Amino acid sequence: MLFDSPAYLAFLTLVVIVYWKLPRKQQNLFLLAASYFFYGWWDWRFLLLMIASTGMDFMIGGWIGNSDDPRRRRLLLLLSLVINFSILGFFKYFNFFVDSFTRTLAMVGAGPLTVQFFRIILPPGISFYTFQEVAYIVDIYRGKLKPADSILDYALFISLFPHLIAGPIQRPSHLLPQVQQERTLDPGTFLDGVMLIISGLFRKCVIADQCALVANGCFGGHFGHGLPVTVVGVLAFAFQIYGDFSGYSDIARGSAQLLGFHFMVNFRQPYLASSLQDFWRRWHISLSTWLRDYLYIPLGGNRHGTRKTYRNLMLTMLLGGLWHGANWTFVIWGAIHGLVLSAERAGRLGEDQIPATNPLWLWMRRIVTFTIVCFAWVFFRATSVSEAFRLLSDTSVNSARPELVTAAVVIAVVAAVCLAMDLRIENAREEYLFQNWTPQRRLATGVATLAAILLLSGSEPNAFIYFQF
Amino acid sequence: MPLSISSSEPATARTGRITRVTWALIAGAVVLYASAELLARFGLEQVSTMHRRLLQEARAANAFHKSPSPSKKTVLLLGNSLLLEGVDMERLHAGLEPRYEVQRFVVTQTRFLDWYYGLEALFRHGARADRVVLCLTMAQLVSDQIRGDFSAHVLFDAQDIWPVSRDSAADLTITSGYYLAHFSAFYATRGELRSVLMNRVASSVQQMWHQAVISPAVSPTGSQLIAQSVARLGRVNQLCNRYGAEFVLLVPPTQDRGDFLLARAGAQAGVTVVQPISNSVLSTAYYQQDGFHLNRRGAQSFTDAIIREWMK
Repeated sequence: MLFDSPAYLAFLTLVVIVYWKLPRKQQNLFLLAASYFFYGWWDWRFLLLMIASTGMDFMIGGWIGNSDDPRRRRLLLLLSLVINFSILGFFKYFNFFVDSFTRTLAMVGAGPLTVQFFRIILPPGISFYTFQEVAYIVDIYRGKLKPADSILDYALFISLFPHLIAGPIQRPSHLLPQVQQERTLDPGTFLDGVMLIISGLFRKCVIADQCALVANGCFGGHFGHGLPVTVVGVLAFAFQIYGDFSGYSDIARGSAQLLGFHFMVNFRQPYLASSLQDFWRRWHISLSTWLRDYLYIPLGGNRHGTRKTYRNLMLTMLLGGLWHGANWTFVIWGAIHGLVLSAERAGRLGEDQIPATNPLWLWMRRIVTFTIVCFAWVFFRATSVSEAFRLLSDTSVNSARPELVTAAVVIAVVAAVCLAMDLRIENAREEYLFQNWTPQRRLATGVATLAAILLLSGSEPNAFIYFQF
Repeated sequence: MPLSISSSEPATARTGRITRVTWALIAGAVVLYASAELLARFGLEQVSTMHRRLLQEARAANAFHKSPSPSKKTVLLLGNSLLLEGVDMERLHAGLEPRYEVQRFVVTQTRFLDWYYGLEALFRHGARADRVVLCLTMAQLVSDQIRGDFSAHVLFDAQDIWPVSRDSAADLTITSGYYLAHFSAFYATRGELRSVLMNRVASSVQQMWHQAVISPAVSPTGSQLIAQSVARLGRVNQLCNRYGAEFVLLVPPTQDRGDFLLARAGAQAGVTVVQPISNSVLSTAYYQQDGFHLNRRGAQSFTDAIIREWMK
């Protein structure tokens, strides 16, 4: 059920109406059933996997919480980590390792492998709910969280439908108490939720889907080949993925707010970042903070000398890249980010070291950061490493079709709209556009945005990019 | 009513105002959708020549009937843009006049599944013909794709949507969209509405979008091709026989290499497959710039070849 589909809007409306009519004790049960229905809508077989994984971590979490024996606690933690990452690894990376293995065999002259391996289908949302389960177990192990008393509450924390398929990855300390406590229907929060959904639909259906057409046209060779095509294609993809994922996150957060939950903010104007360090404080915040707290810091963070700090940075970004997908392109994407973050640290160029007070200096830094991010997007978007290098090495300028000029103008307009929106949100310190306006003005902008969505949204359904991760 | 929230405003009044605004926003969404629905139902036909043609042909096809005269046959001619661009209808009518009465029904970007279920719906609504001629290439005959929401509204009955979704491997989200499109003209034709709007406001953007989504014609390959074609031709043949019509597959000239296999498939399925001009005969001078659709000259040649074939 895609968030921008009529099926989801009908589902959400029905769930919200029934949910607020139920007594508190039945609300969680109803939401769990609705969330399982939402997940099973894709493929009910994967539902069994999620339920099994949920049950296992609930039990292990309880055992860790009830044990005073450090050795037993550590063993249980290891058991949970091994099982969780084995499941994730099997479903997400089996095909990748088999393909890499057979290619390596072919490269060393061992010939093509005659054994035909079966192909594994990736269960939707597995990367996201596995990370939530790991966070739950680790927090209990660290003594930061008490295990959930009720499997119903825990299962709802894992599967609450607005975040189930593509995040934001919720921290147990933030969401679990909300699941356990009574929610109240606050009109202000509800209106914010509706506005967030409208804002998300605009970002997805108007901005991302238009950019997707241009990006697909450029990367598919429909506008010719060469440097100008690659540049327009990468810019289109940069705004496509931003509109797509931030739009998804807005709809997720808005849907949660209609049910009385609060989700963490996942994007804070990432293309206004003035360094890559700053970028990662603004882009996919729920993932970057997860990687920081559950990978970078446990590896030692910056506490064990310069060399180990760089090693930890690189490892975190490489694994962060691989988390996105089983392809070497994502590993290289992560490596680029890791290298630049290390370089910023070595040259003391990060936001913390050189605060940009001069507007000209600030904008120069923003442009440089955006250029580096776009360079890395080439690897993220390309279907293979060789395609990425082909795009970057084709520097011809005269083989583009005339439609490329129009495509460039469309992307310039979209970029201007995005920039204006982000600057407004940044300066007004809002969570979404016009959040601080009066209800009447929000009503007017809400209706106008809906009209734009109806008028400009594409006719073909475009799945959210992060659904594949 | 004040335009801004003052800090001294009582909490209950503020809550009431926010609640009213929320309801107004939801009502605004409903009103917008209803307006868009009215525009699609009554406005699109006025502003789009293509849509007007389509609706006229749909009405005529639904009211089409068998010929009372044994000396004159009625022919229902169905297809996509290859038929629209490739056959000069005035020329065809004039050439076949003494023996055939032809009614065309073109829905662009359609393939086999669109027309199998679309034809079933036409028959169900009372359409009848002595001969049903479907104009498709090999690739379109074996394709599992459909035109999606548009076909769900224009071609299918509600009862067809579940089976067509199953045949086209559509998931539940897409299927539910088809159901909405079947009942909502706006949802089904939103792409057309946007095209009309863009053509008037910024036609270069519309051309750019068109260029961005063009996909090259893919010649199907594989050993299952003949078997799949035989099965599909047999399905349409059975359907037509049930309603007392003869089924003929008309193969338009394209660069599609697989089309020669259709004659074999037709023979196995017991279906007449007519290919008046084989693919190798026409040079690029007979095709439009896209290399796929016939131009005016190509359409004249193809139309004349059809007339010669049917008047034998």
